[in-house]
Amino acid sequence: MDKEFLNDTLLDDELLPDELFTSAVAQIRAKENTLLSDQALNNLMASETYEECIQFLLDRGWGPTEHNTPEELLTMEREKTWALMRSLCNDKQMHFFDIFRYATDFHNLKVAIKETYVQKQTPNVYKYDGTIPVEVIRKCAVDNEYSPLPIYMMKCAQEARDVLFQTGDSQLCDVIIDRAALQAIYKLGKETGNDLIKGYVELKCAAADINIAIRACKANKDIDFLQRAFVECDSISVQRLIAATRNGLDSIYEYLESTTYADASEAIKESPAAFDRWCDNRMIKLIKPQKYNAFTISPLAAYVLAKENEMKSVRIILSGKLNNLPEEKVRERLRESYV
Amino acid sequence: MIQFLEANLGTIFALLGAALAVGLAGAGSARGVGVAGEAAAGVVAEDPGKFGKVMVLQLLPGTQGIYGLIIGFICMSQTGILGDYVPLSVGKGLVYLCACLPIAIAGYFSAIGQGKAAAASIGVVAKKPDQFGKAMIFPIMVETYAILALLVSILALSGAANVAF
Repeated sequence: MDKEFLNDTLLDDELLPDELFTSAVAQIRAKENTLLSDQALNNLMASETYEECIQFLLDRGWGPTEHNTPEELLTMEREKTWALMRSLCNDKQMHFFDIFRYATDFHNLKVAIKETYVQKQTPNVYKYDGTIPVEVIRKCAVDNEYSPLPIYMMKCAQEARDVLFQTGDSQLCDVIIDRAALQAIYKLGKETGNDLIKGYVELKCAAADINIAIRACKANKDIDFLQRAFVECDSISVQRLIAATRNGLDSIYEYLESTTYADASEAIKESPAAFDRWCDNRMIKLIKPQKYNAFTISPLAAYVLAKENEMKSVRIILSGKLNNLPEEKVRERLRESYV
Repeated sequence: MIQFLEANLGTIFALLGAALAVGLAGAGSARGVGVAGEAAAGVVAEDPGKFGKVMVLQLLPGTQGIYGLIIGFICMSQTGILGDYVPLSVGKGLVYLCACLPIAIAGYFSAIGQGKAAAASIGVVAKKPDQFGKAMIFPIMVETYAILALLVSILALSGAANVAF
């Protein structure tokens, strides 16, 4: 087992001095020209057919052939982004990006535990851009031995597995793993000392908490569930959010008014999709200052997030074209562009 | 050894001034051009067509090294190090040393600052090549302070010959 999986903290203080990444940031500046702007997304929307959309994307340098499915195209784009980051950063610096790859590890853990439970393998459900090889996670789940996993995964993996095998409650299994994922991301994010990443993890955890609160309130979940699901973060008081969730949606809106997420209420009232869009747009607002930063690793991280955001918009448009959804339905889900 | 120092201490101070002017300003330029060069290489890796524009920006922090060389050369020629050697008094040597300091110090720091500004401007050119002219203004602003230091060093060296010690 690779030693680094056992490290709870992968970053040290001297990893990312400000003077580094001059060349990488300049390369990213040039690369940002290939990101789809709001205008380009509008042009993509204006394409008559799905095939025209694909042609538009191919003209912008996406995917090698027109025979790919949307998911394959998006996967290729994600792989290209990570290949670019690997070409710009050395192995040690690449650990900075683990923050974006932890979610994949925890997703794979969920899949592995559930596969073991149902004793059936499902094709194409694992993701391969995590920090831990899929085979390692799979073997841990099959052997019910999680010590090869990093410390931040070990406990939740055992707990989720036990809950699933004892109660068959896959939702609770998901809640346990999702919470551990957010906790790990939050902890690593704060440890980086990077303002962009600290803002990103804060928003990610707060958005997850708000999402849980809304859903739990509608599903009338008990306090045990809430305490198990919410993640502590600086901008949200879990105790106050639990109390608000138990009092109803209006109490949640009232509580949000007292936080920096006051404007989320409108989006939540509109629809879950509108809230997702609000979260992504807020994240874009957070990373936009990096367009004017000539040094440090932050512009690289911003590019990764911007690319993910772009892929979400492209996925929405392609799904809309494939399923003949009305244009206004697609438009209301589109994210703001970074460029 | 003590006799040698007593006889030549003034000249040693003057030579130290010339060395600082050339060394510090040159080191600053090397760092500045290096930083800008890293940025330039990053852009060219993505878009080789921008080589000409980014190279001009990369060269800007190199001027401080040249200014330092000019001052070092003037200092050495005025003090006789390059020609007929006449030992200087300690006081006169110190005057020459002080005359070299403006370009040595301002050259070093302005070159590094200009390198960073040039790297940022290279980022502008990477995204908007048509804004090359405006992008070049930002690092050029830093040059002002190197030129002021050069001017003072030249004036000080010109006056140093007339200082009686």
